[in-house]
Amino acid sequence: MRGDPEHPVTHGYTCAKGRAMGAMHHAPDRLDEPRVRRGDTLVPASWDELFADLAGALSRITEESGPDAIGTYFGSLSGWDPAGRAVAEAFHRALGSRSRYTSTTTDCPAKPLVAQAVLGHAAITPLPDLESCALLVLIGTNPVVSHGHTWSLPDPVVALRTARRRGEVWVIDPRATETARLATRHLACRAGTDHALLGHLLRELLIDGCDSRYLDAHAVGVDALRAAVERFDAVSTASTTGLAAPDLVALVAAIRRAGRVAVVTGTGATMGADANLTEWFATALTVVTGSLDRPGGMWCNPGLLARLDESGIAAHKSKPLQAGPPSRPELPRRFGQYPCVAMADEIEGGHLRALISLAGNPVVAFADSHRVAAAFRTLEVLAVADIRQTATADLATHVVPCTGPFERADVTSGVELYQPGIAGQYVPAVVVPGASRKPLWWIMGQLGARLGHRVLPGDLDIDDPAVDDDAVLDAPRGRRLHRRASQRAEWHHPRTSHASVGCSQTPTDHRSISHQASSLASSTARCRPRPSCSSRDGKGTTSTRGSRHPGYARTAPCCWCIPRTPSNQGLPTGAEPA
Amino acid sequence: MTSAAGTLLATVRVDDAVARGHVSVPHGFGPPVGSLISSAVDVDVLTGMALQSGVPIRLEPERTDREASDALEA
Repeated sequence: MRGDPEHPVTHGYTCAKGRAMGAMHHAPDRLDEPRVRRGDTLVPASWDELFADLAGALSRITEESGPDAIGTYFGSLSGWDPAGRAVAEAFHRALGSRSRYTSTTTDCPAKPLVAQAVLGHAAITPLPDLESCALLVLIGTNPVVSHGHTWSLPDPVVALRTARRRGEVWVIDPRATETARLATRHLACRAGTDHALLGHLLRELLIDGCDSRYLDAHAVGVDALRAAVERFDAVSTASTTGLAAPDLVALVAAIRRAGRVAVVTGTGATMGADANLTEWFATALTVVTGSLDRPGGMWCNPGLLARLDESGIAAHKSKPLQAGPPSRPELPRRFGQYPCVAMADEIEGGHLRALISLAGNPVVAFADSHRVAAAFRTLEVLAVADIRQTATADLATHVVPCTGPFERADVTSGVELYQPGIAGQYVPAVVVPGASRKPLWWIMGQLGARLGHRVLPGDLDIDDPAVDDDAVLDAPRGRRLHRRASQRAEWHHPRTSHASVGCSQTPTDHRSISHQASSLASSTARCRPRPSCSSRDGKGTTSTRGSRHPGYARTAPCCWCIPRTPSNQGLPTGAEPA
Repeated sequence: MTSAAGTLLATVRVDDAVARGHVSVPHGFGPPVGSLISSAVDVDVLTGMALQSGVPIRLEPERTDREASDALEA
């Protein structure tokens, strides 16, 4: 595994997980063959046998208990398999089940909650403007090791050193982390009290240091916020957080000096009891200082393929909260999913009889591990699709071996909202799938077909041997892609020349990638926030694009193809690759 | 480690980098930290997320069977 120094986003940086991918590919516990449980043992089976057994059980359960008795769990890694994720989501929709679960409710539900409440759309994920911020505040996050959570930061050490040379980096964490060692200052705030520190900063800045013109133009509820943070005076905040009073004074002074501030939270903050308040205050801090959607503060990546800016942000409406599942009606149902903590209750109560677990390991990741494992053992169906044997796969009734990252073609659409630039990438499979492994989209497509559902995107036929990874990645996936096509930003890759990603008017248009990128840039620049983007009274802050700001030179749209050869870019032999 | 929800047996290292009164436990690696976490109480009302950081715990050395039986006799 080697980095590519010419890669426009990573500049050749690789992380420990990336460098370990070769070992992962060859790991002795890779899942090779479909297996079906017979009593205490998992017995190797053909794909046909697995599908027949699984489809039969799912049909019977649906007939007896209705579709809600079948649940799907989307693990974090399903986001790194856009084709598989899209088809699995379509499969779940076709079932008509409300029992949908994702890892979001385990580690960061505060993020979409606050984004929706404050910014108008749950998917808006403000990112720090690393190119020009004078003050970066990292709360409960350790990007030197993790590379961020809802923030993908290649080469974090260089990025943080650069930010510190230009300005200041403050790390708030009860542990002096690897990131804290690179910081200008580290404050060991007591776990679960980040909200108090942020409340104090808001209190002091609303007295002196806020951006009044920005607030007048974009914010509502400032007086209510001022009243809410009044209680966080220096004495009580120092007592709550365990921080020394001079440290609080110093951080307030640093923000006043910098004017604008970039603030990022991580799982240290979003998995605590004060997660919602911390996330809300962190967002409010960027608003109060006029930093949200401003150079030197935070920007929002619309994504090259995801194109969040074209997805249409509905005007704010307060909708009645949907009730939780039958066994835990007091829990909220948000973002089309039940909270993961309800899963054990649902199984114990007999409401959830079958679970399809995709690219996740709930037995290890969920709260109440022992109870979850005991509940999983009683499931009539536990189909586990993964690439390695996990603690969850140990309990499976059906083990479903998937292709790994090297065995399938892929694009970055699932994670590009978190990238430091507007960028996309396509990579072809680099090795032939080993053993009997199959891509997740094929597995869910086959299972869907046996239950009478067509779940592949577009009008693709799961039994057509010509349908491959590329065809599924290429096919329209709904409204957003149609909108994109109408704005000349559809993407394609020439099937014959193996790999590229780009944006052009027609699939046969093989102009240079840089030309295609600039055509996307101009189409992006034409977009303006729709009137519906603002909240009820027209004063809400919303997502816009970094490319509007002159300070974001590096975040102009870029496309990248691997390997970087003229033929992959549709250029004549001997031409200089873009 | 013992919380209101359960126990977790692990090797603990004293580390000056961790603030006094805190234990840092990785999530998803090593012994399942979820055994310290309740899915019934301390669940966030707005999101349904379990409390998983800043969890009150007690830390004590594991007793061997011999020590446990000695303590019982005493």
